[in-house]
Amino acid sequence: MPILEFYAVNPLAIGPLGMSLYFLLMHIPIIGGFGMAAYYIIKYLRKFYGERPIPEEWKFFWLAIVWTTVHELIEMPILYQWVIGQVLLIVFFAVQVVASIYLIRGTYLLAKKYIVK
Amino acid sequence: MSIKSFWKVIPYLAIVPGSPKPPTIGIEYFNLNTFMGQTLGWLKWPTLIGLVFGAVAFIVATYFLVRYTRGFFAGRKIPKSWKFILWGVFITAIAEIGEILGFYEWPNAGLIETNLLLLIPHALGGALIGLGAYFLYKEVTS
Repeated sequence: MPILEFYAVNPLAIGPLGMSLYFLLMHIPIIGGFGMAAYYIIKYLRKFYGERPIPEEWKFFWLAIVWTTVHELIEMPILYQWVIGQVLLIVFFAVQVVASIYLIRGTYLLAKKYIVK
Repeated sequence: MSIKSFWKVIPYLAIVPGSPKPPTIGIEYFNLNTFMGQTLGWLKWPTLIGLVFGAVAFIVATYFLVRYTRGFFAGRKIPKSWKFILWGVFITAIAEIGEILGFYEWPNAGLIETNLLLLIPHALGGALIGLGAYFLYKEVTS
């Protein structure tokens, strides 16, 4: 695998036009959905907590959604092979691990605070 | 370089194009030594650990969110927002598993893995989490 290479692959020409279009359109709810979640969760938290500090569990949960959005964004150059290389894989690995830690930590603290007492 | 000539050159670049006739199920092409058709080398184990950890994280998160919603709402009706978020996280866990298959089977990723385990659950999971968060915000503003 190369260290890092870039290619201008046309996303509408990875196969028959219908299939390429289907692949491309499916990425709108994938990236848009997580991006929308990150946007509305922070808006919700600011509205709900107002001047009070946002609790740790919610901070972690929101950060998990933000990092998952970044993870989904990185998947596009991987799938379309716009970027190929070890550097991209290392970044992909790091983002995935950070997102996963935040997700587990955030949801664990949410559950712990309200259930495990 | 025109698009037409670019596609003529592609076989000589590092890009590994998908099979023009993908199999229905591509599990026989599953290879831990390659990722998107590229030989992984020393990145074999970090890549696998990262991908598996990602899938496990969404499964664990689903479990904790079920515990949280059951405990927090304790007998009361769970609002639409949390139902959407919970289902979104669960369905994304399926997509993360499909992702592992797709990446390692490439360029012969099966149609079932690509569609039923990767693309459709990913899109559905993302949409549900996004809508759930939107409803959560609407609940405190309306």
